[in-house]
Amino acid sequence: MSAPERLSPFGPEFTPGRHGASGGSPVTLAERKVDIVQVMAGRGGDAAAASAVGSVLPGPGKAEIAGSSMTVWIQPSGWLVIRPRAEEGALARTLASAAGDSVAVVDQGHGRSVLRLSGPKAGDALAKGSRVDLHARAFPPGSAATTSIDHMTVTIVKVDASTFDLVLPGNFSEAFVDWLRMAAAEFGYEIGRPA
Amino acid sequence: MSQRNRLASGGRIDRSRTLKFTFDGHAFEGHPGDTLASALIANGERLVGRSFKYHRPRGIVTSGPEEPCALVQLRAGARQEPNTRATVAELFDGLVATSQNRWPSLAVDIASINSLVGRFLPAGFYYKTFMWPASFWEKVYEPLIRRAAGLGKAAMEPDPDEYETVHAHCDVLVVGSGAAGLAAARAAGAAGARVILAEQDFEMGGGLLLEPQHEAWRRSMLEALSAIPDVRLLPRTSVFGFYEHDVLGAIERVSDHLPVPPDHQVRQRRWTIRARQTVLATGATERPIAFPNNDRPGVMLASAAMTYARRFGVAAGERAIVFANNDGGYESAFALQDAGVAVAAIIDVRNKAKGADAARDRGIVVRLGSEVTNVHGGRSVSGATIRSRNGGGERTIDGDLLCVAGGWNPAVYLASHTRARLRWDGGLSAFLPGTPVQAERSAGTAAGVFGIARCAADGAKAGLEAASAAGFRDSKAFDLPAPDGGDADPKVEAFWEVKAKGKSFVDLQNDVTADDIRLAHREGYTHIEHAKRYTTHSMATDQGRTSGLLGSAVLAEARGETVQKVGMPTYRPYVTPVSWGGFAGREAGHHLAPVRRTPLHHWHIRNHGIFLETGLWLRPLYYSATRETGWDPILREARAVRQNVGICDVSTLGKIDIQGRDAGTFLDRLYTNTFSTLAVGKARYGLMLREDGMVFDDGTTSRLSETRYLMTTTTAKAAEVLAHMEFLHQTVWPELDVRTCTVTDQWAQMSVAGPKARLALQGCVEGLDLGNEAFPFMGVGDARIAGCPVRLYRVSFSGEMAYEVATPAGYGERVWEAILEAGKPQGIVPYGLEALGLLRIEKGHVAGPELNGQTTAKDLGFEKMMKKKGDFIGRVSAERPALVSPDRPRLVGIRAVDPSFEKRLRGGAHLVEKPDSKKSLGWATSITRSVELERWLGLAMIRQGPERIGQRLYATYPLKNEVVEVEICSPHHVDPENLRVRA
Amino acid sequence: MLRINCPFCGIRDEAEFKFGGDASVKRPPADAGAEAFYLYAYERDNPKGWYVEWWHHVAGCRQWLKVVRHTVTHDIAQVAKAGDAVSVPQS
Repeated sequence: MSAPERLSPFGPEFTPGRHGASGGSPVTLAERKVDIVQVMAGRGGDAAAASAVGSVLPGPGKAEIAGSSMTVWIQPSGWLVIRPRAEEGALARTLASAAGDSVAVVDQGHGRSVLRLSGPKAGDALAKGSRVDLHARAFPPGSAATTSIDHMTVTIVKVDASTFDLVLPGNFSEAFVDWLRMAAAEFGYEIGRPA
Repeated sequence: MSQRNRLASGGRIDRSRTLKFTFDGHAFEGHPGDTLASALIANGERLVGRSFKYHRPRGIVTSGPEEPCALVQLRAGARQEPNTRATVAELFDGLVATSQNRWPSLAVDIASINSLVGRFLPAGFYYKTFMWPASFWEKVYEPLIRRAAGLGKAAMEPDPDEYETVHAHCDVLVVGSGAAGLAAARAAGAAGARVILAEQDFEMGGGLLLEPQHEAWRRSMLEALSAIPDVRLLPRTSVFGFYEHDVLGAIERVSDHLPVPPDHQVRQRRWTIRARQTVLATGATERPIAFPNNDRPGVMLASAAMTYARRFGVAAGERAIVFANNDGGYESAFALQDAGVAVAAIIDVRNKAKGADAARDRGIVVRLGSEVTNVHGGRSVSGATIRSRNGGGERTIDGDLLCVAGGWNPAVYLASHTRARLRWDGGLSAFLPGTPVQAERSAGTAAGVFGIARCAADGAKAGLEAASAAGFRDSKAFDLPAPDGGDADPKVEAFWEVKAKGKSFVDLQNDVTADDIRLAHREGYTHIEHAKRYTTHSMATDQGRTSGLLGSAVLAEARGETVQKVGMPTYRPYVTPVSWGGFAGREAGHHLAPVRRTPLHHWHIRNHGIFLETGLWLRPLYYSATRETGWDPILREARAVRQNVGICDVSTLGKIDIQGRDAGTFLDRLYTNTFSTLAVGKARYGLMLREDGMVFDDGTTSRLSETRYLMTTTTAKAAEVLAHMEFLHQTVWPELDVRTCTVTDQWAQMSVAGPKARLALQGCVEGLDLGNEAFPFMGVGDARIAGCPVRLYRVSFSGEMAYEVATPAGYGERVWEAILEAGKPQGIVPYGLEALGLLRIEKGHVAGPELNGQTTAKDLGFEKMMKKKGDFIGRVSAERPALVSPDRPRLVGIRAVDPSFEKRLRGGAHLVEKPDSKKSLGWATSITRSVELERWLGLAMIRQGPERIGQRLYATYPLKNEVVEVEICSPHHVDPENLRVRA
Repeated sequence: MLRINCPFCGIRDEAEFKFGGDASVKRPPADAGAEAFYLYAYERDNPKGWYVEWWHHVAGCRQWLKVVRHTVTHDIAQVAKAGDAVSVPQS
């Protein structure tokens, strides 16, 4: 039995529309509809985790990105597996049964949210609050970093030169957007449809 | 005449446009490119403020951020901004400026009487005079001093503008955009380094702005820099601090030069810059010489007078007298003469001067070996008395501008912040930056290099070295300005003070005279740091930029030692004043901290939840659509739970997923009680201690499988408990196979509590038999509600039959509403934090006020939860004699004897044996009105508490003169046999 | 503001970390007795100079790290994983 549609963690005011300064190309903010599973391998469990996830597990500071799926390093022997949204809980169940006892699999599909930030000024808006250097030389596509932005713990994944996926604590999703709206206002921003 | 001192040509102002502004209500005009100071001078305004202590008339002394006197108030209303330096305030059309520290007006200031009684206001005056009686300080002395000192007044309304704080990284940060700074930035940028070039002025160029012959080079450098993508130019940006690990702070005045910030733009932006290498090309400031009445409006630094002529196209006076101890004074004199200002004389303390012949060729009288002994004029200079230093009489010279060239103070402030020691340069009679401690180097005049060409070459070298140190070794040549040969000899005669009768000011902003410093020395304040604090020398907002070294020199003479030996007071951030808005950034008002919202937040808003901030969370205190007041909504909600059923959002509880073969062992070591024996599908209440034996946290932990547990923590301690677990696993027991992570945000969790809770849930739960046998107290089971996956935990905080229902956060509202709908026949109501608290106090469940970090398991009646076998955190320390002493306060219940709500109990009240006793036996921790017993009751920590059950004591609250008779009882006011939760 | 070179994440701001106190003390064995646990819970040096301390990369990889920091200059000589040994400079 499939579960009903869920409420967006970004709240009722996160609706499509253009805000802030006009002209130029706006920073686009959109919720990504994804499943998120936290995978934590025990001692000697990395191989089992890789085999269950079905791809190379990236090392520190990296994300393995394939289309709309990605695996993001978040801690030693710990990753977030992010896939387009499917049946509630299915990704966690599949990974858990494939990985076995040496790997802890935790569904974070509601515990985290993913915000896609894109546009030529996306990096500039994000950099205002990022304590991590986002310059192309220091943070090329495929880079990932967990850091603190406006007191919230955020995992930044650089998808391409002008696209970032931000993995947010679910309960701070709205607060993070509050901050981002202010940071992006001078460039103008557009809230896009969830995808 | 408008702008009567404006020169017909020259300068960097745009004469084709006129800007209107007012000063103290008088209308004036200026031009784009002016500062408020240059525009005031253009309009002949000399007197711009009154001094801090003596209320002496003061004018404009400098042309930059080092200004000690021309502090004015800008704008009006909510944007009113006190203590702004007129010398850096960029003029804009409609600017409203007012003078400050004067009453009733600038020209007639009653408090300037201080000036006449000045000899009664010596150094340390405030310390000596306002010492006693102590009770006078707050009521008499402080208001008196504050009114007298005053300076500007802050706006009383909230600041309507926005500020932001931003982060930046670069390979090379260059501070200052003079010849050295531009060249450094260009060299580093061309090498491929990411460069930030910060300039405090609104125009890039520093000293180049005074040199028309180098204008083409300045422009070409800026064009080249703008064309390098990885070079960021930040004008109007003051770097105010150099902190450890190569982190620097800067404030960018984004919109200070505009009446109102543009839409979607901030007023100011504070930068935190992480620089791999820093080049400090911060230049130098000219310094004054102390002589009597050297604070009169019209006494100005010689370089400032030159700047007003060359950069702003204004004559700071009609007839200038120049007083110098170095060749710089000649350069300024010639610049003034070239601008049409008559130069009455150059008074040079030296017996020989390189520039003397050139001056005489220009028809300027040069008096070598001479000094200025007095300044004539009150509110404006009218002349000076001079004398030969080699003997002879005094003579008087007329003039309305006295330019002082006392040598140069290289701007070593940022280098000093890094703890780099200063180095004395005898030729310059100045301190230079010593060996760097952090990844920085000084270049140009800041490093004691003088002359445009030499500074540019020095800057280019520093830029290249910095880039190379940051890993960028390309070097690309670019043109540097040719030496023009006209550079003055920077050597300075170490002459600091003219010894003559009168007030010779050292620190103009804080009204510190040379005599004040000598007095401090006589009274034992011989260390520069002590003399500084005793006299307040160099403690004003200008941080002693012009006067610091002069003060050290006066002290050195008094001590009979060299200036080098005396040294300078330690420089600390901030080099320049930074507004509070710049520090706060976005973190003001509603944005003070990010708000953590539960998955049910918007339901609470739509349904009249009244919120309370708890940490970063917003939680509903109660729900009230009508005008219920006081306790009414709380009692209504609590009664519903005791009589029927209620539902409460408990999503804020910390939730930690624990997996691994050793998960049970790990929990056994964390908790005082055992979890490895817990059956799968069951929950257990657990108690955690700190290593010092005090209670740390509590909560229920459930076993989901052989190798997986789900822990709940209190809302307040969620983050701390996870960090504690990670610490223990990573550093103490790394051998354990266990993995932990927070799942607090994954779940919406709601407590459904009350005698009809089961009935209500049976109306909506699918896939789980809720019968008492099938799903007993402490059971855990999966089910569905409204098609959504849920997990039920049969645990109770209220003391009623209760279930906690958890569902993935996105389904929270749907599940909550389904339960409300299903519970309608039972009269279900949502209840908030207040009713939750009331219910748990009635039941005698401990929470924050009891788990205050000073209570042991035994204090709280949990001694049976301390397992006898095996190690756990806090086990050994909890057995220390003081922690098991029978005298410790222990948890009991207290109840008002009076069965009404007439005399209220309060948390914090002390329990005493007699109404007027002062001997406290303990205190009330949590107090509520009871719906079950219809009276005030609560929990208390009382010495020999359990032994006193049945006794009567008094709860006394002296702050409100309240004494209430109470009965000591079991903490479990409600259902002490625990039958309801198992019903 | 300190910049701490996390062995996993690279150089990061102090704001991402939480201080965790003296990293030179070790939790005694369970049977070490009251005095050993007293020393463990309470007794700390407060040196002027090099100090080995715990920092938790709480807004990062959530690892507890050993940081060798100079308490006067804030210089950091070494940052190590929890299980690794550190060496403390002489001066």
